[in-house]
Amino acid sequence: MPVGSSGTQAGGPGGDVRALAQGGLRRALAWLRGRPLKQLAAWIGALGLALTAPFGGLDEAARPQLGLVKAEQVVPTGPIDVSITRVSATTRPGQNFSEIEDGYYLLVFGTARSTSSTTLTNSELRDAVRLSGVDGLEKGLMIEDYLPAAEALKAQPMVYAVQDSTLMTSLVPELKYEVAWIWRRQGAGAPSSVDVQVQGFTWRQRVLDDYEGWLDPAPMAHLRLPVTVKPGWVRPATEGAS
Amino acid sequence: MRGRVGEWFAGRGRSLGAGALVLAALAVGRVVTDRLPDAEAVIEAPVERHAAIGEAAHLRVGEVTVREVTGSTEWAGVIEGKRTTGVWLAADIDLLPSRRESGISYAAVRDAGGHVWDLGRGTSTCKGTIAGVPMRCQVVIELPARAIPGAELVLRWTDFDERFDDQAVVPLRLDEATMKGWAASTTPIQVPNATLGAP
Repeated sequence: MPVGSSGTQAGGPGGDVRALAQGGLRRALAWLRGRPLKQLAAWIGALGLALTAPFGGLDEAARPQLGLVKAEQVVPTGPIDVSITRVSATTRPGQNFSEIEDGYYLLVFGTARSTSSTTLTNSELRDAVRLSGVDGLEKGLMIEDYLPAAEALKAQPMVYAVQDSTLMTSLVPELKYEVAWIWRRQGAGAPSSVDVQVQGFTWRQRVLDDYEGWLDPAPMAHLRLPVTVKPGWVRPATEGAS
Repeated sequence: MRGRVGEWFAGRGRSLGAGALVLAALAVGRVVTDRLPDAEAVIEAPVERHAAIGEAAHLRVGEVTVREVTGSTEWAGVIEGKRTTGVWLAADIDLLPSRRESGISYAAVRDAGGHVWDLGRGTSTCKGTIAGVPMRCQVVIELPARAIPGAELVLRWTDFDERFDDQAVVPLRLDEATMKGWAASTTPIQVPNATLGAP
């Protein structure tokens, strides 16, 4: 250090304060280094608990209260206004579906209207509705993994337009569709009623890239509806006779 | 003690001043960049080639000409057909590809209010092109059955990456009378496979 540098020498007026501070810090670090690792971990844990205690500590984080809605009531999920009207079960909803021999298709009927100014992909529409507490649901389209009741919310439905029985691949602005969210349920009969949950979304930027969109689907409202069992689709006798 | 601390600060006046200036410069920089348009978005925005119906738009991937625009509540393709509570807009297109990857995978109607109606449940038959061979094809887009002021049809070769490329922009007249007429039509728009070769 060059002679005459201001305020950095141990002997200067400012140097006393720094030396005192550095000495204290050094002694504290040395003392900490001397503690057993387990003791340090316990202290860090206790400190974390003490700091989080005012917010609930180790209590399970409170889940947001699900609103109870009625059939046909519109639920604003963020990008889509959703309403649920009825639920049915069948072994074959239409000619585009294969017959289920050991189970049922569960169909939740309702409406969906995009409130976004741009076209939405079908992921928002698909994630807007879930079934709760139903066992044996297929995890997703063509994923032959059947979930226990506790994981029913992970099961992703297919979404079809009721008007023309075609797969909903997207949702354009302003148009209101009558749709059916459809799950495959394997190895069980049709339930007498089901709990339908409507999920809300949050508009935010994704952490890993600069994509911005509707993310974090989470249950926001629910309703329990009876399930009506319908006969499976059968090819009309006049077709395929030739 | 207070005297010592005061002396310590007094001896670092220049350093603290410089630090404060750096922080101020960073804050000013942040304010300025927040108010300027995103440079990347400006640089990467697609170049727009405007053309009226019947005129060719000269794109990197070839020449695109929208010949006619029609509408109805239903369309029928080779494999499937769809209905709507709004209207289906169908644009008949002549495409002269300059390269193999010259199909039109992105088609949308946009308006002055920022709405964008993508292909969605509609379709584009303008794919599978052969460089230099003319193609006659269609795009079909689902719209609400209302007047759309300032409507433009946007056509591009890809629907996932628009950077550093161009796109055709064709102004449309979607007024109340036009949309009402289309909404009242139940005759399906025929959407056959694209045809190749000179018409």
